[in-house]
Amino acid sequence: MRIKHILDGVVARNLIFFFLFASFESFAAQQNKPKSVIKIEDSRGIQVFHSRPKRIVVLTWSLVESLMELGVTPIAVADIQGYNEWVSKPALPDTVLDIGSRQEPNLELLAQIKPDLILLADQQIDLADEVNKVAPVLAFKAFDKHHDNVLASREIFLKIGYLLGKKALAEIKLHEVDQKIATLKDQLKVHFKGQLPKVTSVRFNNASVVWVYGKNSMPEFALKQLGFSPAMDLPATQWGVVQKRVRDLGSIQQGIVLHFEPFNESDRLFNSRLWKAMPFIQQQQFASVEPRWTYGGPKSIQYLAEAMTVALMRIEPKTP
Amino acid sequence: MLNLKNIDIKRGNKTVLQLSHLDIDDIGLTVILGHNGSGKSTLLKTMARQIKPRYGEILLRGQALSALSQRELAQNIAYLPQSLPDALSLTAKEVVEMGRFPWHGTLGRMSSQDKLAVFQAMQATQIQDFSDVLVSELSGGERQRVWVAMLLAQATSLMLLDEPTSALDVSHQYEVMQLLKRIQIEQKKSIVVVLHDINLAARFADRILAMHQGTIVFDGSPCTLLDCHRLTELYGVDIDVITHPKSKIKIAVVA
Amino acid sequence: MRLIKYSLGIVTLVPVTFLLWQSQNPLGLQSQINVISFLLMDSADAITSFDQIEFAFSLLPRTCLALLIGAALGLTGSVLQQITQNPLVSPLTLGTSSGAWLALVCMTIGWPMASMAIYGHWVALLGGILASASVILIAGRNGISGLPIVLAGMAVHMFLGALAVTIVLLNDQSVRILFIWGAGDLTQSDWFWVKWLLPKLSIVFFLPLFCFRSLTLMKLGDTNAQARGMSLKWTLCLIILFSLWGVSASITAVGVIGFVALMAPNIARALGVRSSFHEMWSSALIGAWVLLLMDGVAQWASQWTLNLVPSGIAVALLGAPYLLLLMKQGRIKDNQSINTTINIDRSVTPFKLITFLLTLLLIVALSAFYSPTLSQLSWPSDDQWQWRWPRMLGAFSAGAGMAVAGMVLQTLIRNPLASPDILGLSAGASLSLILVSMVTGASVHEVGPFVAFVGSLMTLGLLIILGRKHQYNPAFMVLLGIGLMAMLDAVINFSLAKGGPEVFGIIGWMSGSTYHMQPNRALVLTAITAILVLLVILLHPWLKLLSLPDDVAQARGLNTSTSRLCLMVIAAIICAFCTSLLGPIAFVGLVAPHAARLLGARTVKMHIVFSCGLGGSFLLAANWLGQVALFPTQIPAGALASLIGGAYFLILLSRRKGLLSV
Repeated sequence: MRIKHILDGVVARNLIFFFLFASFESFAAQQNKPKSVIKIEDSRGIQVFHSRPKRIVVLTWSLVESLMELGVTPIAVADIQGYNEWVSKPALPDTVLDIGSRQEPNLELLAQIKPDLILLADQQIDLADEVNKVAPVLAFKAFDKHHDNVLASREIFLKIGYLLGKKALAEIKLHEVDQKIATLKDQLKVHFKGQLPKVTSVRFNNASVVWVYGKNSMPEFALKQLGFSPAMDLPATQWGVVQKRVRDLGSIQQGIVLHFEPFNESDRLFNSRLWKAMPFIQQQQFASVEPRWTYGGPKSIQYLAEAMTVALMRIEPKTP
Repeated sequence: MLNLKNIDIKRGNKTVLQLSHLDIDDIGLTVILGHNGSGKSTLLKTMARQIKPRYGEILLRGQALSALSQRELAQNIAYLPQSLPDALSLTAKEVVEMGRFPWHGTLGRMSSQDKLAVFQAMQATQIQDFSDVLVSELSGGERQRVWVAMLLAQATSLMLLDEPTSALDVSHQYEVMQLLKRIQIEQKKSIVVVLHDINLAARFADRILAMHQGTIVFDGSPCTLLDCHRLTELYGVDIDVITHPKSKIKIAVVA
Repeated sequence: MRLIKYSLGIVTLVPVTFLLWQSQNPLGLQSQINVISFLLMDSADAITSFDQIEFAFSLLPRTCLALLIGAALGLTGSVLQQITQNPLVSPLTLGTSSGAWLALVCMTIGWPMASMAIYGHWVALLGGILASASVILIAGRNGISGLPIVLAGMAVHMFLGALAVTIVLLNDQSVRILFIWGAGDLTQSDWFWVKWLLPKLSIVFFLPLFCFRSLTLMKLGDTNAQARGMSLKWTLCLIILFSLWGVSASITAVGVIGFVALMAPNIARALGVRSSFHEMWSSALIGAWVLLLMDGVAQWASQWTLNLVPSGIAVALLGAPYLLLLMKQGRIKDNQSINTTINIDRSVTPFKLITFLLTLLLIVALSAFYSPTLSQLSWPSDDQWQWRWPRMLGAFSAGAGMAVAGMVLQTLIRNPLASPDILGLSAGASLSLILVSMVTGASVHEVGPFVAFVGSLMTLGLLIILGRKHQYNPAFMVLLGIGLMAMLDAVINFSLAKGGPEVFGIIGWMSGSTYHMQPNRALVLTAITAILVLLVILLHPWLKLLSLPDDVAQARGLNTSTSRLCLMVIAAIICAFCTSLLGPIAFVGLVAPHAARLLGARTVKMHIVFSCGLGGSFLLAANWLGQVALFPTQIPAGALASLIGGAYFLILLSRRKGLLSV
């Protein structure tokens, strides 16, 4: 409930910002030269920029999404093959250069393409100093046990927007996400006849072990936005996932369980007696969600919400 | 040179070595004889301080053996155990040079004196030709000579060798013993050797210690040992002593 | 009397099982018996409530699997330990687990997901058997008993592990689902694995009946047994094949829980079992007992922790201290150290030396001047140079250091198959990094080399404390190191299994990369390696003496235990520095000293210097190749060095008939 309040606050604030500054921002964007220096706070402190960066390299996948949302195509991204396979949305144009793996982006190549901004996050923060020799760096702590990952990702999104002179656009985008989710929420409310059940989403590891998305995970946040409370209460962790045995899902007496594809042992598990005896299976409160990247940025919340809504709409509401 | 007093070594309840008194002479080749398990190796190891007896004392020139540092010990006593590795990635010269370790120490460099000792040891054992050959590439006899050269290079007044001939064929057995005898006489050393073969012992020894069940049952010259009654008693089989038709040397044979 | 003991063992299993059940599910005793009888009467449809079904289809198969696998692992462990006459042989030391792991990884990458569910276990089974068979072939028939097989096993284990890590690194996301298998968990959702395993393991349980005579004969030694009219070769092959089959099948089903196979026979012997027949049976019984109990602990612990606790980690964490205790008390008879060397009749020729120096020059030139971004040779720009030189220097120093550490350890252990990571130092470093990174949530690179260094020093401390009683007997130290490694591996697998996206940072670190080699780090590493290598050169008389039997060395005036400890600590510190700055670098320390001999290094001093040069150039070459081969993606130098080194090693072994048969 608390987070919902905060978010409503965020939405409202964004709207106000939008109306107040939209005209000014678009003017500044045209000029493409900031009036004075731009100051952005990242995980290392305040970073000062004297011009708006254009040639941007992104080393982490969640920020690729954010950048593309703002209508800026990065010149290079780490591990494009993996990105296409696992994140896929938004699709990267072929012109984007592969800069090597996410753990060890190629520094020489980086230097050669002369970027004017390098974005990185989380596991790469220790690279910041090294990469800084090539170009200014923004290093963000997106996933942390001690903050709300989604709020953090929205903040990062706004910061990038501000730096690129597209803060208004960023706010519009965030607003769009919120609005889209609100629409989905209404749809679901109608579908469940105003009685929203509890929902928890999982990803199967194998036929006996499962990752459960708990507090501080993107899917859980999306569900909360859609108005659902979790069917399994789990404390916040850095990445929001907790590994459990499949039979622990049996403790979910009331509520819906969603699972993210792909799962290659589905035939075996879904045909087993234990699985069929699970309360949520007995009550037909289970559905699969098409593959989605669960460590993305603000926009991916919308993708997650959309995919999960599709799945939830397939579940017949329980008649009391 | 070495005086052993009241030595008593037990393994479990079994006595493996019991001596009231034993002196090793300053000069001479002493051979320890005895059947398997008679305690001859134990005696040699005790002299070399490889085994530290709980009871009794061992004096080296009047000084307690146990009080010496490992290096001082090696400056005085050179011991060669029975089982030596065939495969070793060291050159013959490196092995011989190791004999100088107690003199130059860990961080010391080979002095001209060390080099001379190594050179002389290799010359005495006639192994100069394969000084750069790996030990593992040598034949059994050559290898044994390398080990003896290492002992020589150590330049101690007392040398202890545990069955140095056991892995060799007959000709090499005599060769090694001849070498030891020559060195002993030339350099006026005291050498103690454990042997299996009575005749080999009798041929080269100045003094023979015969052991049985952990005690010394005979201590004397080879001539006195070569007596059919004594040998029969010692080994528990009938042994005759005959005289070699050509060399007139006494030989013990099983009757 | 024996009968009483056995029945006591079996009878006590029943209440333990029941106690575990009571703590795990809400059903009453009557209800449990009902469920079992339903199952037995094949009328499972009569079971309806969730609790009953959970009992019937999760807890019961899990218990059966624990008993079955525990018994099979205990039994095969006993057989393998008796054949090899080595108390520390386990699926880990025979390379079984890494073989199966590599097979699974390859399959996940290469084949469509769907076929994984159907054929996955067969591939793993094949991988496991192939890996352990190759270990036995490498060790050679004479090496089966004793240290050689352990060393050969570790070498193969490292090679396959490096191969797997490289593949995982290049395809990170897809392999994630495999990590839990690596940690080993018994959780069941149906009777699938029990049904799959039961027919496969039933053969194994007939093993004691037809092999106890051969095993008793084995105790007399190979030659003796052959003289008693036993065709040892074929009997042994058959017995080993069956045992490996059992181990591989078990590992395939539940993942890496091999520790039971290591532990059960040792407990049996500690309890006073002497004859080989009874050792097999009692090991089976104890294995079942231990696995059931440890699995119970794991399940119980999972109730209190957020993430599940895999059974494998409970077994390893509770078992390893016990094993170390056994070793400390000297219960385990340490192996005779075996003097083995590689005999190469070669000497240094100017031609060889010049070729080597030219190659080194070429590698340096390529590393410095080849620009992968342009695919051409060019004078490096300041930008390029500032990244190139620390990595080059770091790679060379680490390679040189590891080579010398390897050469020292090989001399101390008197075996050319020993490698510096065998002491478990790299595992200690990895573990401390992972634990700190798990607690603080920072990436392994942020946590930094200091933690890794402390971790490996702590491992060293443990080795020194435990080894003191045995005067640092080299064979004992190796076995100790491997025991430590088995335990640490379990923890590493556990943290990989539970982790989020941070695990790829850990894997990246574990593959040994020069990527994070900043100038100051490279300089520190170079300085320290240089000092320690010089120290080793200064101490070369010790090395010579220690390559001889202890009594010979002592008679030359050397305090063998002190000097051995000193050299071991020097090697360990080199290893710790390289590991903490680059990550574990396997195989350089194994291959370089051997190549130095090939080049013609005869004396110990030459051997040190040549190993140093070769190791350095080797890692330097790997570093360069890793940066250009899959440009812009980089293969860590350590992983690439392991691949090349491992291949060299295996080719070498296949060309000679067993490296160790002298």
